[in-house]
Amino acid sequence: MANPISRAWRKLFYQDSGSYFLLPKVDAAYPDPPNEGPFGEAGPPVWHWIDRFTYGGKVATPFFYTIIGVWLALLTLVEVYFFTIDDFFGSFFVTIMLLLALLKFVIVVAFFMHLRFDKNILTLVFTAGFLIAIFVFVIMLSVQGQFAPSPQIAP
Amino acid sequence: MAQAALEQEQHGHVADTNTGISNRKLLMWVFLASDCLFFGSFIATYLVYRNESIVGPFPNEILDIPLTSVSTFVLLMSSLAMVLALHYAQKSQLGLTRFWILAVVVLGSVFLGFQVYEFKTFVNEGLTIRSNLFGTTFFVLTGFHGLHVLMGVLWLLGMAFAHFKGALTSRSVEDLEMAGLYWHFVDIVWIIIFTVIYLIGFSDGEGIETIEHAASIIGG
Repeated sequence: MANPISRAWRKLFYQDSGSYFLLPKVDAAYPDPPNEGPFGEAGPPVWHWIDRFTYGGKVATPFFYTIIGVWLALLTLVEVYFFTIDDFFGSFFVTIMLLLALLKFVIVVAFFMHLRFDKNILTLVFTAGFLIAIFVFVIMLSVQGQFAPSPQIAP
Repeated sequence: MAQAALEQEQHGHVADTNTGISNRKLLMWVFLASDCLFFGSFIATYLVYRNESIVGPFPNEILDIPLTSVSTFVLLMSSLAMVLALHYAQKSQLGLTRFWILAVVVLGSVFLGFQVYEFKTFVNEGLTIRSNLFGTTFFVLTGFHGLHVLMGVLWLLGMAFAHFKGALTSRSVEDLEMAGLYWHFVDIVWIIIFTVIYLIGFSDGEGIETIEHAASIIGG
């Protein structure tokens, strides 16, 4: 812990630093059972890395929340910039914009609404409602012919 | 046991229910899930009718993207203020809790101010709820969202002045958490509205401008 990089790392990410968001620093502080996270032990190693870096319990610090707020602002800026160059994306524009909106949606729900740190049943309840809403949304657009190809006028 | 002990340490207490979550909190999440359906239906309705107005103004003639981008930023920052208020409430720091709640109220009011200004501008330019299908679906959707924001502002204002007079209790912290969940939900709804109605809608919002266009839409 002597070198400045280690110190900075510890200050940013560890529980005893009073900075950034707080990682559990001992095994006992991790959720029990260990599959408390949305995917448990399944998935590639990178997921465990993400898991470690986003699980802070309800003891995340104001700095952590501020970083999340900055990310949300940056994503909004990116959205508006993409809007100004929508011709560049062509038919992918709508997909890209929806993915960006979904990313912001998930960030707010996971961190600001604490679903990432709360019991999984709450995630299930909200996801169920959201998926039903998406289902109704798609059905409604389909019934109204929004996904049908545009009719062509005969020459 | 370790999980329970950890929660005990972090949250003060674990609710004495089957789920370990307080019933009020579970109810709030169920309500928010049902509200997804409410706004999902309005957004779908808007998308169905957005390009079927016979007369203008049409979305790409009237939507003010720079103004709405700023108001979106304001609402996002109010969400940040809300989560900070809850954080300090959980730390039993009454002064900072009240400060951040009032910050949310101010930012929420600024957002409402932007919305009132936008509505007024639209009306001056000839778009009312009765002008065309775009006007009807737009005002209903954004108006209901604005109503949700107004409810949130009043709720938090009441909390700042009435609820947090004395010491913070676990009950009052939970009350604030409920208000916070509601406020963040209003924020995520706006995230979708801003993208779908304003950014995507502007790029694709021409309305029915010619007889040929109308004929192509009705399949004639």
